[in-house]
Amino acid sequence: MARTAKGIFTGLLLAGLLLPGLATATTATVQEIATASAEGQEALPIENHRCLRCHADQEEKFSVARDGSRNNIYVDPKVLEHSVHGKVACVGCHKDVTKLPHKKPLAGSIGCVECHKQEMGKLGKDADPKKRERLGVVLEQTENYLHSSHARPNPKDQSRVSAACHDCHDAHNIGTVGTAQRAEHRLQNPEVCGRCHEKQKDDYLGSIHGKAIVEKKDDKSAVCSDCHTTHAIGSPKDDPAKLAITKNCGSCHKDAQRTYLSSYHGQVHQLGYTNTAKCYDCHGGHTVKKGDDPTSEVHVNNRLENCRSCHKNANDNFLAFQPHGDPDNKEKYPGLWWAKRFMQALILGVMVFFWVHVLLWLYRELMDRIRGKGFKENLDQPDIVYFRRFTPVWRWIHALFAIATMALVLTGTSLLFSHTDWAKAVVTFLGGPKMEGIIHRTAAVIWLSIFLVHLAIVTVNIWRKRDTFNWFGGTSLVPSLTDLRDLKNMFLWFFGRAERPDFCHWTYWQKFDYWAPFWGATIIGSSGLILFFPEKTAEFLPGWVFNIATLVHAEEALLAAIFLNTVHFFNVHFRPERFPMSTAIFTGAIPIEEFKHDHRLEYERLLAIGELEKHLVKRPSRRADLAASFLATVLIVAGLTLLTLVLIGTTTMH
Amino acid sequence: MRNTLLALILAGRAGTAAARGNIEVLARTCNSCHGVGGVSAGATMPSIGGLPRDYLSNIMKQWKYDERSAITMNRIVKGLSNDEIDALAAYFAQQPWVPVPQKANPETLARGKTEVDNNCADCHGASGGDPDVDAPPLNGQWARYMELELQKYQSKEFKMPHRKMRKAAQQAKPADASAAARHFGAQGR
Repeated sequence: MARTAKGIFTGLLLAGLLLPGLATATTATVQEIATASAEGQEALPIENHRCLRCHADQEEKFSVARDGSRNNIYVDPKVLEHSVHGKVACVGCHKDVTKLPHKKPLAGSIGCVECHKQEMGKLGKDADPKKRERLGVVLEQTENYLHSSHARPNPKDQSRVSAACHDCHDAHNIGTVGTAQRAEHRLQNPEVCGRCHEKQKDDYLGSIHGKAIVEKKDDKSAVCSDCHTTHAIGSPKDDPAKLAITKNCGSCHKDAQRTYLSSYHGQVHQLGYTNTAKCYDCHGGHTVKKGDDPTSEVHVNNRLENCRSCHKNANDNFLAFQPHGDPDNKEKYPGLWWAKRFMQALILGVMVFFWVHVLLWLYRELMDRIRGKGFKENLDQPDIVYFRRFTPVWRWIHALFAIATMALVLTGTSLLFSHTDWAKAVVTFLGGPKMEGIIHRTAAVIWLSIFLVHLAIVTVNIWRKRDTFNWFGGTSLVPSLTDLRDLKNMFLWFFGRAERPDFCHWTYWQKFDYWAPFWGATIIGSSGLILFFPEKTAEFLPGWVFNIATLVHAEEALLAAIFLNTVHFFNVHFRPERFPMSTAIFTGAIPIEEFKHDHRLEYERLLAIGELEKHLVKRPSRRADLAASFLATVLIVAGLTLLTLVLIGTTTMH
Repeated sequence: MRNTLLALILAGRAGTAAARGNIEVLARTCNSCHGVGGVSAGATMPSIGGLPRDYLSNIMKQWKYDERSAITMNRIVKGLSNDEIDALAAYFAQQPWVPVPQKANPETLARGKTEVDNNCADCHGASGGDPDVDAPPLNGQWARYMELELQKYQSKEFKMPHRKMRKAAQQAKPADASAAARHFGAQGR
């Protein structure tokens, strides 16, 4: 035991003494070795020309071992000279050669990693920046390699790694960037990888990529490393490799990737999840061929089978789906193009009109306040009488509607804006796209249920008052000519050319808020149901409907999200008379003075018919008021947060 | 069963002993020229004890099949089977290499060293004592013998199947080749 310990100690001591010397020798150039030798060592310096006497002998390119195996020992001196290692001494890498003749066979391992690290360490401050940059790339790739599956123990022989540097790189023939050697190495890439990955190589050689490389010598065609990366190679069964491969397809096929990433398949993928169709799932990986090739997986005869690998019950209608549908390509996808133009015009029209309305309203109220006009709360005599605007049913319906809508916007836009970091964080927090889908669909069911329940209540209410119900009266939400007049008068007021118009029970902007979800429910609801049940939909609708549905669902939802969190928030909460918020939809009541100001016609009507008293209530308790303020604050902050996220997503979308 | 195994093992060992005995007898025929244990006493006769087995076996077979020129050795080895050649090669390879350092004038030695460093050391080692797998040790080999061999290699009619050695010999000036031989001959262990 003691002897062993002593031996180890001696070994460490020797290693400590020898290592600095070795470190110097690691990167020694020919010149350095010659000089060192001349300083008194007996052994002849092992200069490259001595090595090349045997290794550049064209008549004996192979050495034959005792077991009869042949080993290529040939090094082309011209190639070596032009290699990035051309000025490095042979023994700088082959460190086990300490004398000539050397032992045979040579050690297989060459310390590439260590040598490059030392080379970087040796660079002074005034070193050539290009050299530093290239060495930086080498070290980065080295680091990638060390974490790759190639650097793990070979399953068939645990004593060695799956692939070492020299298995892929011909160290005597590493060209600098832009050289012919480099181009040649690229063309050889499938051959090099195919030494181990034989089946993949055979598949690849039959593909459009492989044929271009082998038959046409087209070095722009994809080689193995273009898709699998050069050094950070992971198992294709793992997510990082799947994500990297799909990303790398886009290095050449930019348009295809752009359109893929805007589809549901691509959005989920971009969030970092791989359980939707990826490029190679449809096009084939190594066997990828042109779409008109009958053996291609995306050929029209094979496509349905392809879809069925995920959509088990896919029928012929699936074939009309456009996986790379581009709403900006009018020639190829006119339907999608028109759908996008229509939705954009709608969004632009609505938003421009209402934003102008908002700005003018803000301007007018501010001007009025400066002049001491407009509604102001009398702090000396606060209202103790309130007008009941909303019964508990409507308050509940509004609260649930607001929460469901926000949940829908959050889960929907995190898919739509899957390129953003916030979307990735949200989806991770929610537990992945599957959970996100469940939440989205649950919220959608709640939303539609509320909508239908509301319709039922409205129908019953109107039916009960069917004899006296005034469809176009001041208490009806049905739009009328009065709304147009009110709108005109509001604009006149905005410009200071008339007094502020008086309103009855509902104002025109409140009616707009009420009717907008009918349009939204039709567009978003129907497109949502189509996307909710793709296989059922395909039983009676062609596949391109999914493309239209995906587009209008997203555009309409964006319109709703931006409208609600800007225009609706301003009209109800943020205009100076209401700022910072109105809690009427939570408490159900507004101060009588405020009611008089906002709904004078209704106030006067009720007073005239003697029914005002029926609608008056006490001021909500302090606790109810606080609770309502708290709830309103939470919803407003949530809404503004969503608006911010949506704006980040919209402005960063490519 | 156990007895049968024992008998087989004993028979095998006896056979090995007999074979060794035969080779020693056969090797005695070599000793008359190459010296006892393959250490030659004559300046034109090479020492062969301690040469690499593969080298010895290879060179004898080349003589046997007339792939390499010789005056006497090709006749002698034609009387040997390949197994006997292999056994003789193994026998002489087991003998210690005994250099016989020979004197030479300093100028020749210096010239020889230069020639060796330039053309011989990569295969035979700088002193001839650290040869490659297919090259024999030359330290303390008889210089005159090496000189004569090199002269033969320089002749184009002489069959010398080792391409690199033939090329090296043909490229060297006769005086340099001679000096290199003197240099190797002067080396000890």
